[in-house]
Amino acid sequence: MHRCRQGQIRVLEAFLAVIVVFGALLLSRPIYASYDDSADQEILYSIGMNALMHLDQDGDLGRLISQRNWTEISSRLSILLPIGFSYNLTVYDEELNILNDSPIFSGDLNAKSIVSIQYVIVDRESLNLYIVRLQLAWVK
Amino acid sequence: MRGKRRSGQIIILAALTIAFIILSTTIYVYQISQNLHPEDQPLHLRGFIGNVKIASRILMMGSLANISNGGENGSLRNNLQRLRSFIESNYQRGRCILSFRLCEVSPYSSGLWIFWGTDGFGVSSAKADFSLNLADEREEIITKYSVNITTHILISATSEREESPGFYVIRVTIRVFNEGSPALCKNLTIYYTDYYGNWHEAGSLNSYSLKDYGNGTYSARFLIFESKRMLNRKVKVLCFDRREIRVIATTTCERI
Repeated sequence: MHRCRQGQIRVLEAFLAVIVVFGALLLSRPIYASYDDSADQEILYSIGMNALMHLDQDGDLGRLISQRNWTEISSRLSILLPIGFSYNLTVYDEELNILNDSPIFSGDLNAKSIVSIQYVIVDRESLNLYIVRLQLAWVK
Repeated sequence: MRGKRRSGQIIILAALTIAFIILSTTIYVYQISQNLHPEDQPLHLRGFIGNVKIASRILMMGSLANISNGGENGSLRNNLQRLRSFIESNYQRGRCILSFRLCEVSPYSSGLWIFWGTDGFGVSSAKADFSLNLADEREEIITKYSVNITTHILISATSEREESPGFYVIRVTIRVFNEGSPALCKNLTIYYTDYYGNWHEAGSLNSYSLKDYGNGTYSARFLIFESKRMLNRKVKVLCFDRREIRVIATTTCERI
């Protein structure tokens, strides 16, 4: 009878030990999850920002916006962004009115991790100021 | 018997130790990975600062192009003020203050140095110092940077008498620079003076030829007829660089 009780206690202790170890594993999981998410966001942000800076380096982006050449902007973005990304670009003027009458996008933005990058543009010729907002996500 | 009783407690202790090791390893790895970025500033701040630097540079380029083409000198300050308020009002992550100071150190005045000399040197330049102050509830970052947009040209010219009486071969060498480095130009126009001091465009002559060496150096050659002998023939070069900044330089032909 005494031995039987001892056996039950052992089983309980073993269960307790398993619960403690799995508890630790469960606790550490959200830290990794949040890290992975923020790393994803950082990668997306830096890829998007690099693409915009590259487009704007010689003032080309400002010129294309002034010319309302949305097709060219879209094709250049598609070339600059790696395969596997979807994006949506919105162009605003100085009074924050949306300028692009046709959408500048590629793919579906319905993803878990999306970043929104705001970028100030100056047109070298007309000296008009614009803001572009690039939403970027991994393709599902 | 006592040893067997304790073994259960040892299992619990071992489990707690394993749990502690798992948690501390996770936290350690997380902290190390957070410190992998050597830059102190968060990515979005670095991106924003880079964006402001490019925007102010392009604005100064455009302003200098306008001013060198006859625009008002005061437009540089006005344009920068417009950019400042635009950037400040559209920053959404806290407080943003962009300030600028136009260069007043000689030969600059109000951030501009436009000198189109008669000794073969011409320059159009704009220079300003910027300070960008970004602050949120956690930190404050101050970034200082300068923008200097300079296009200058150096020209030299020779006049050589041809065997046929009254004919002269004029050779002009032009070197174009952007911020001190050789640069290509978009358009070059060369003028020369006749005996009476009137300016004529060399490009309209049939004998005119322009050679582009592809490294910011250009040479032009043309033949002119002048019945009267001229001692100090002047040559003027009007240059637009790829940024549409205009520079003019004048020189006197060296006689060969």
